[in-house]
Amino acid sequence: MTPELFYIVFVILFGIFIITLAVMGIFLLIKGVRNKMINIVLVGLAFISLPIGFIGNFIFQLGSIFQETFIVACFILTVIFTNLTFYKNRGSFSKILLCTVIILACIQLWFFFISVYGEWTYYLYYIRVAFDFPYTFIVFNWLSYSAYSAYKLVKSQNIDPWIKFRYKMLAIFSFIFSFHSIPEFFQPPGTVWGDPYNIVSLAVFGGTAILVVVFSIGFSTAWIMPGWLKTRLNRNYHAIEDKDYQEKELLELIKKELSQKRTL
Amino acid sequence: MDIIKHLASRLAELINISAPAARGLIKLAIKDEIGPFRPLNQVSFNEFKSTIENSLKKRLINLEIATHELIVQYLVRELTEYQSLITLGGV
Repeated sequence: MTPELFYIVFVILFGIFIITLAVMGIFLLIKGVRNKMINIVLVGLAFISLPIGFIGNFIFQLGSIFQETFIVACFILTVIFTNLTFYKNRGSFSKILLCTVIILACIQLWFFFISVYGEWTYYLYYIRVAFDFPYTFIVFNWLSYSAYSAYKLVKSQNIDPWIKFRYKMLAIFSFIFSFHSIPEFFQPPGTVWGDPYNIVSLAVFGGTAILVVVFSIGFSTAWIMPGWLKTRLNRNYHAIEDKDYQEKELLELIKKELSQKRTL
Repeated sequence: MDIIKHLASRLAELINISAPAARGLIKLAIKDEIGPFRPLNQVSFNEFKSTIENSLKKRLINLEIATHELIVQYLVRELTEYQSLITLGGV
């Protein structure tokens, strides 16, 4: 395979990443609005903003600041989603983390402004990348850690297996994505991202493309889980069918059960 | 709703009633608190919390459960710990 062919394959992978995220984002946004779940609305918007940023920059040439603004929106909304989903009434650590991510996001935006309007040096490039790592790592590792911690709680409970699987998938794929800024360290400064005539740049582009496409497919499958997969995961699980009690009938049943307990 | 199933299984253990009866009791308490027309998958964390603290507590008192205060505290703790089930089981 020639470098140009590799480049085309990696561009296709990025295309799959962007389309998958957009589909997932729209799906979550619709679900969130329909079920009145603000956290799902926010994560839907987060994963719609990422493709908007990339399409705006790479197709409509709106620039790196445009792209970074939407990435910042995605990352901050993702942390808010994690906090609203896992950490309501659970102390202030989640708020501290959100503040840290907002500060790191501002730092990234500042670097992008300098790169466009100021004097950009290799030194500044590596400082930006050094700040990008904790930024990305905190956002997606926080989600991964939260999903994994919750999974540890639910795995021994009588809960639908497909839900437990969703926890696992969120934990695994967020963990993978939390490292997606590492290839940036090896990108030769001053070269075009994915330049097929620069083997290092092409490898960095390819590594990132593989990482992000794995994330997008795994993360989307977790949310838009196909019916056949749910059925397969639930095949040994006997779902509870509740009898539809009338209030009087239910209260009599409870009183009877309680009196039986008291007489024992 | 898996969060209801989970809270009900805890409630059933605490007051020694069957799990279906406990689930029914929680569903009745939700109806008392937020009305009969809201689908269960649209009940938020805060609404679950206020349901436990208000209408479920009243129902436990009416059933002469002496430890109602401790049960309410325990269920709120369980809800807080397992809150992600509302989202991950609701989408």
